[in-house]
Amino acid sequence: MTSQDGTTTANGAAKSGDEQVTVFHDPENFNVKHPLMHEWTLWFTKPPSGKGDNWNDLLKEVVTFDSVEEFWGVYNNITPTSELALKSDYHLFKKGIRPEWEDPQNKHGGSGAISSRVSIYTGELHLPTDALTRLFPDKRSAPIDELWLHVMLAAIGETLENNDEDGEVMGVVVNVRKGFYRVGLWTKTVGKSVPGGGEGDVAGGKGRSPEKSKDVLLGLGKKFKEVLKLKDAEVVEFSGHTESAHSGSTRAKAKFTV
Amino acid sequence: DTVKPVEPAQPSAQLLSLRSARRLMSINDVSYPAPINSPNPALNTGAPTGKLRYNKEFLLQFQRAFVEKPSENWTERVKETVGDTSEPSSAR
Repeated sequence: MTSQDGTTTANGAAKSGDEQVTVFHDPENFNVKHPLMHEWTLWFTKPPSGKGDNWNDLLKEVVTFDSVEEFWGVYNNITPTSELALKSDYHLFKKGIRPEWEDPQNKHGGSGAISSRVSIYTGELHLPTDALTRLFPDKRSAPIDELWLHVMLAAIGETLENNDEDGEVMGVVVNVRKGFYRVGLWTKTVGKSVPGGGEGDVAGGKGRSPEKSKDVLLGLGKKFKEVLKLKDAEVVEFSGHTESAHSGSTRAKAKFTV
Repeated sequence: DTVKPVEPAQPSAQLLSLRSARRLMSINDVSYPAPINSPNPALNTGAPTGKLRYNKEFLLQFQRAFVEKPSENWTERVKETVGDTSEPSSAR
């Protein structure tokens, strides 16, 4: 095999400046990394300590990364979901988006990437512990760790959507609750244009037809199910966050199911 | 006097490589050493340069390849945010 500058790239060849040395070639002396399409921020919600907790004090930004290598540095050195206390959450969101239903900055106009984020959809999957055992019968421990890992990999690898122009994925979340885990996928819209969404054929834009919006969201839901290894008969519900916030409930009425 | 002041941790060779590494622009530029499999080429056909998508099987191969903490103060960072849990698990 011959590289572009004509030198051989067989084992033992001198490393030229042009050669692409990955972490697989040399874990301690590589010169290229695998970029992600977006920067991602990992957030953590601490369990409430008692009374008087402020949400802002409980929601912590852990780290932002933009390469495959760095993702694994984080994942390999952080508490697995299965070892978190009840009422903890991990959120993995595109950089610049806070994992909150109603970002306070939006109410006051806001700016930048989050200004168009008014209504948020989520596809949530309620996973009782016994269902996890059923989904992963050969796993003796912590199938939630594998599931959450696969959800994160689908997000950062950008395989949840058909292409970047779909533009609906905001982030993914896992909630640790008594007796179950919940894995959620947050999308930008509920399939409609949003204030400040612009005129274009983008998620939330006026130029995107309702049919296309629905196709994108349904496709996303299907892919999400695939990642979670759900059987076709098992249902993922999509529900509007704005609605949830108004009703004060985390279990908003489903808009549609996949 | 045998008590030494706590010195800031030195970045590992792996972390230094990560910090100086270039962003790969095209997945076709790389021939991976066996037994590493390249990403599914169908994911990146016609994609703009540097906008790479990766399938799960490709990404999982990195789990044992990059194991270092992502920063020198990572342990403190995790304590401040995720909390004082038991020793974070490492790659097995």
